[in-house]
Amino acid sequence: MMMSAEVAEVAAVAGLTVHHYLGVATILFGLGFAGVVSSRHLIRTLMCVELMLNAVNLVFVAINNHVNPSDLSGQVFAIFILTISAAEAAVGLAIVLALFKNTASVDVEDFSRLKW
Amino acid sequence: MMLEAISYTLIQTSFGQFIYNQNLAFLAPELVISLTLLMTFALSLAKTQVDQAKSWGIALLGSVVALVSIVMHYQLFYTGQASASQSVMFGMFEADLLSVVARFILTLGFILILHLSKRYVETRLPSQTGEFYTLLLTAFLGALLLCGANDMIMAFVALETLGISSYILTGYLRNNLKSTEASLKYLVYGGCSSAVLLFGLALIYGLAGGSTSFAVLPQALSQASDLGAWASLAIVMILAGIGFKVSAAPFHTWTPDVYEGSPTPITAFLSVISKLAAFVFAIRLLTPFAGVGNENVALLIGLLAVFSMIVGNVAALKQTNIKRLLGYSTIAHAGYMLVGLAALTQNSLGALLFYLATYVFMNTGAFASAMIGDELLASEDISAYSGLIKAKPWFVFAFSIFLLGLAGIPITAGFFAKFFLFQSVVLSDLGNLGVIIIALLASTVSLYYYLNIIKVMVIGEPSEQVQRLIGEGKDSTWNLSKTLTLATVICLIFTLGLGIFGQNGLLISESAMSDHGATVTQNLR
Repeated sequence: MMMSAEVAEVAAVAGLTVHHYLGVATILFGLGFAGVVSSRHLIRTLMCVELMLNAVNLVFVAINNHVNPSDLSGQVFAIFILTISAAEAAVGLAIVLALFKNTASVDVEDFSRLKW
Repeated sequence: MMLEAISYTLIQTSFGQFIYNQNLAFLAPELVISLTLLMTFALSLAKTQVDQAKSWGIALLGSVVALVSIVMHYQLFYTGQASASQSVMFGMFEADLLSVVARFILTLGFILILHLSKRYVETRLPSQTGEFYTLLLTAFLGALLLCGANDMIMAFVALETLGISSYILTGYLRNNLKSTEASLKYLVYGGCSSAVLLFGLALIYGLAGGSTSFAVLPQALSQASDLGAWASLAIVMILAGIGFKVSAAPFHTWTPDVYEGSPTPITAFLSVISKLAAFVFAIRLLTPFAGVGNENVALLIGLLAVFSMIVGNVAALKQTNIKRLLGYSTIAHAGYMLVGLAALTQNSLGALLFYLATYVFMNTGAFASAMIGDELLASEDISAYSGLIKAKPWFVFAFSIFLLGLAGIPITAGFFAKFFLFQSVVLSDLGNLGVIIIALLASTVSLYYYLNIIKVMVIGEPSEQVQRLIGEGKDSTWNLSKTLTLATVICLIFTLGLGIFGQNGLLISESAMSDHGATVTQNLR
């Protein structure tokens, strides 16, 4: 387990700044969003939502290390996000299960009973 | 004497010390609701339906006690107690006048929603009564905490407590395809919007120098003189996330679907409780932006407002399902309220809070009427209401008042709320008459679909269902749910009463905002 100062040191040697982390996180976030919009399988949609939340975790941890390494509020926030996204995934899977019992399908295209 | 001795002994314990030091007494409503929630949860394990049915009474008792504790806290502000406005839990929760007023309205609204739910749950979900109220109370707890959340972590956890419970409640009619589908849509949209909001918050966290508290935002934002690309991205993402939570266009697409598919009491809960809590959260998060980079933030919120007003009102014109129509009307109302948020002055936010208060009663009343209509006619189609005045004149009267209130016709509270809101925006620095003109035009358009329902009920030819009702006459075995009637009458009283005593209501909400503005710094004018 590396201390945050060591992480910062290694990152500095590799020429990594906070902008690199933010860039990676933004790309991950974009991939997650693209997945939510485009995937037809419900489970995959839920996984993409998780990916978006994990990208946010990366931003919090990177910014925490960059701005204020002695205060761990960003890392604590990341743990809260992990916990809550786990709860959300559990509820999401339960809903998918209920839908599957009703319709025997997990294809997004099959769920269009509600529309104007 | 006795009481003092007991409280003195309590304070001596370390737990008592913690409660005392962290001002936990100001979280009394939340603590009461948490206890109530545990009790209903224990009852939900009971096998018999008789035992489960008790959970309604417990939930009601809990919310009434919470209401009393809020009123007691409110009194502190008027007896001149210096400690009336307090930071609770290391500044995570701000127990100021804004949170007290918002929680008061919220609790009143929740008590009404409980009255709406009773018969519905007894008849449709008899074996899951305990669970239903447990989840409803959990969602309500999240909403209460959101009203005072003054820290990103607190706000996020409160938001998700409210959100995740709402996802489950939306899909509570497990074997109903519409309900489960609505639940899924809500969950996916909700999860995405939370992620977007969090991404924005994460960037703001960086700008604020690594602090999650909203309290440091004003200073941090004024120092970051040139808000760079990341800051602009953060603002856009936060507004998108808030736009979803308050169902503002173009982030509204989930609203009509979820409103149509949910059990009707839950639809009322989402349109009233969730929206009120989300707006208070938006007020707390966006107040620090008043003054710094104000123009861009105001412009973006203004755009959201204009989109919502146009999309909500135009799409509502061609709806035939009453719940769906009310869903679009909710989007339009979010638009009017966002106009007040865009101006970001003390008066406009005060008027916004007053608007929210009147909206709670009008909209709950409209949904209560839709539920009575559903019981009477077994249909959610507006055409089924045709000629209803011949069978149930009092019901038509009550429903018409709520619809007139939502349309903003004088005497009802809806008119004064709109009037105060638009007036305060015209008087603000923003002074953007374009937005106000669009808002006025949009409310004119809304007259069409609200009055259309009244027209159908009053002068339409009786529909099949109404003819059956008239045929049954006095022999009808149908009996109206007492709690539902009570909720409708209370909503009616408030819809008319807040119109008559509107000025007093506005004064209270404005003083709430000035208290909030004072705690945030002098940013608010």
